[in-house]
Amino acid sequence: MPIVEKSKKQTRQILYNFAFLDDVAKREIRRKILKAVAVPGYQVPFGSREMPIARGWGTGGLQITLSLIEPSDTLKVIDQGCDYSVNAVNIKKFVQAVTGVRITTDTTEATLIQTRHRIPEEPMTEDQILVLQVPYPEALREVEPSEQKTRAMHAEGDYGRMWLFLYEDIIHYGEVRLSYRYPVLVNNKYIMDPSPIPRWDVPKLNMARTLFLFGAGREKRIYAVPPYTSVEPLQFEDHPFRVESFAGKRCERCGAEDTYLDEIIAEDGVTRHYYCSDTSFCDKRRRT
Amino acid sequence: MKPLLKVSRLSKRYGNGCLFCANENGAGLVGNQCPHCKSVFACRDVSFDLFPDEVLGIVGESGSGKSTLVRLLHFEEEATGGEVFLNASTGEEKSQNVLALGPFAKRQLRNRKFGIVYQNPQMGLRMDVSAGGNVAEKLLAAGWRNVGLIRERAGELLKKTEIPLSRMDEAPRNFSGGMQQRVQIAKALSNKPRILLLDEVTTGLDLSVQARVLDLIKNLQRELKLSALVVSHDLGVIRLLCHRTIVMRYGRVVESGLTDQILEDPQHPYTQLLVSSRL
Amino acid sequence: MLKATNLSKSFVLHALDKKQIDAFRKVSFELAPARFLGIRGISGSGKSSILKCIYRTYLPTEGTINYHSRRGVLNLADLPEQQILALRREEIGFVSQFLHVLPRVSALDLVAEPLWSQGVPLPQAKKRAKELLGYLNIPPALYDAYPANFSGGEQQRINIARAVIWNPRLLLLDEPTASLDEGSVKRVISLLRELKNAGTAMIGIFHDTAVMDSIADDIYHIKPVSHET
Ligand SMILES: Nc1ncnc2c1ncn2[C@@H]1O[C@H](COP(=O)(O)OP(=O)(O)OP(=O)(O)O)[C@@H](O)[C@H]1O
Ligand SMILES: Nc1ncnc2c1ncn2[C@@H]1O[C@H](COP(=O)(O)OP(=O)(O)OP(=O)(O)O)[C@@H](O)[C@H]1O
Ligand SMILES: [Mg+2]
Ligand SMILES: [Mg+2]
Ligand SMILES: [Zn+2]
Repeated sequence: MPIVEKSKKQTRQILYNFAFLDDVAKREIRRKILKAVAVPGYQVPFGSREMPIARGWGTGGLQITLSLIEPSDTLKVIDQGCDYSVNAVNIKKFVQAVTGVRITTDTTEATLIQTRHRIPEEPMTEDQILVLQVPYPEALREVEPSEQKTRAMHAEGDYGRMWLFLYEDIIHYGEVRLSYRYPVLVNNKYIMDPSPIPRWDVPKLNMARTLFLFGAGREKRIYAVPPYTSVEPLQFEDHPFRVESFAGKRCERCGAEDTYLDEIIAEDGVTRHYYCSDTSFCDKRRRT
Repeated sequence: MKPLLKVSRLSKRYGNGCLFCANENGAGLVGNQCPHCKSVFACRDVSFDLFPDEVLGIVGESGSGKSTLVRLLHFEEEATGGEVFLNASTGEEKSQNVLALGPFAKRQLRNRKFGIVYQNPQMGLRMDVSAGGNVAEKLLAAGWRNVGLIRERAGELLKKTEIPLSRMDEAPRNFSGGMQQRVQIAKALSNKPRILLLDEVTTGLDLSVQARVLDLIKNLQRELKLSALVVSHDLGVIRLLCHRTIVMRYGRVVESGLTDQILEDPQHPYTQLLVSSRL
Repeated sequence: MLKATNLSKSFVLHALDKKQIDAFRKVSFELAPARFLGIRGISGSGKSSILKCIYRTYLPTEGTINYHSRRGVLNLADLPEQQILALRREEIGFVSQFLHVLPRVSALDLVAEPLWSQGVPLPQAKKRAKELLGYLNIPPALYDAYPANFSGGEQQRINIARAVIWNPRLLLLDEPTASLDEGSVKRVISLLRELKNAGTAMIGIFHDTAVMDSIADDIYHIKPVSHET
């Protein structure tokens, strides 16, 4: 199959459908998305297609993006908060090549955002969709290796062992040690893996105005948190869930004190620098 | 008085059965096995009642179906026939064939009404989870969400079963056999069950440790007003713990009666053999 | 209070080619409240078997045992097991020569337990248990020890104390004084007499005729079954 970039503009339109996926694939994925939206937090299996990027590099998110995108959309792609990482740039280039949509780095301007491991700092609205790339969709995998059994556990609300896992962390270490993939209870029903976002981002899922779609390409699962859905991190009354604390620290570029900060250790190996993880938001603040 | 648990013609066949064994209900079996298709009839038409506060013994030779029966009642295996009625004497529920319930309802029932202690602690405990965590699991499943309260309750139960609180946060992997058994008992009691299922809980323990475990069970049973099903090879254990006893052979109940009657005036040839071979 | 009619018990020993052993045959007797019926007969005549049939440790082969319980007249010979268990809890006691108890229960707890089971608070039950043990000459040092390791005589006295403490309506006694010294026997007899005066009906077997005569109001003589069959 010819590579997209090498072909002439006219031939490309003959060789490819809009947004790369054929209609059958798009229809299937959209149906699965509808199902996921109808049953918040439930993992819907889907027929994951071969993508011109390697599995594990966001093919699940990409298939969701491609099945939803329209010519009028404005797309933003981020990787751990950054719009310019190689991975984000590759995905952007590819989607633009097969759709021709407008690309942006501004969260408020985008209609569709595909992301890996972060939720943007700026609040999103009902008119936007956030697509999250998911490496391991099963929140219970830590406590149960068998897929058949975790499915039954979800079906029966059999979550004692997940709670036991958290309990053991608390009695041995005084707190739950998970810093990413913190398990959440969606709509009071399913325990869900929110993808490897930091704890900082977890509260943003709760009662949000935006639709969140989660795609795992390798594991062939789609799940969703529709707008205004309750999403609660698993916590004990006497050991409440806490987000990362950046008390006393601020972004050295934009001065923000209320964002998730990346810690960079300087070349001397001692000095620590802090910068906003959400780079476009940081840029925006610097401009104003 | 109404039985708490009514077991009616409960059957379990391992294997598909064939024309030879299917209709006869095991008439032509060799022991508990079909000579043609090799299906094993682990339990055949087992019927009995368990009354409130009653301890019922189950004896029988190895392979007679005792553990299978316990697993069927704990919903760990699907029965191939028969019914089980759980009739809460408190009137909280109507009598219902619990085997016909869906998996969710069964698990709820198991979590709320049953406690189980296996002969092998590996089966009943998570060896890499703390002793307290093992006891806490059912509380967590039942919606307890306060670590302090959970630890308080788990601590109480471990104290009752004579596990030092200083070892509450240790994994039972390194505990002695008797201690593991006692952690299992604490775990089984955590949900305040109505029915305790004890499968060979003292087998493999030293005599003095056996004595402590037996004591514990007897006291708990009286104090907490539990009904219990006690499977044991040891007729001494059965005599000490059980009000009534059923005798199984090749998956069938061959005799049932008051425990002292079973031991001193056994009627069935097999029971007579079992009792006399003890002497 | 209790009326046995044409009561028989035989054992079928399957291992011995279904050999039949008659323990006793066609026994009839009556017992009134607050009376003591002694059973006398040679060894092997079936005395113990009669008591065990009444307690239903043995299944009677034929005949009836009509017992006037608080719930009305019940035929113990074919009463459902649950009701037998209830009667054992509430009305009928049994003292044998042997003690079957949990290995790690103290003497005091063991004796207090039947009274406690009747709903008497534990401290009170223990107080009464201490009185009884004291009266039966069990040294206080043994109260917290485990009777599983006691001597035969000590175990028998524990058994008696357990039976006497809860005032059963009917008490069955199978050689309860067999290995006791004379002094202890006297005390046991006086305890039993007290219990009888309080209304308990008893059926008892005593090896020693003099002891039997000192308590029994009536004696039933049992003749051995001839084994020509
Ligand atoms: N999963 C299984 N598949 C096939 N046969 C089984 C299975 N589990 C048990 N059996 C058979 O069922 C019969 C009853 O087994 P079970 O374990 O209930 O006996 P048991 O009375 O508990 O014996 P033991 O006293 O040795 O524990 C045996 O013949 C056994 O081999
Ligand atoms: N469980 C039993 N199984 C078989 N035979 C029994 C059993 N119990 C008693 N017997 C037989 O029944 C007969 C009566 O026995 P039992 O013990 O009632 O006599 P006993 O009058 O109490 O004798 P003793 O004065 O020696 O105690 C005896 O032949 C005895 O062997
Ligand atoms: Mg077994
Ligand atoms: Mg005798
Ligand atoms: Zn067959």
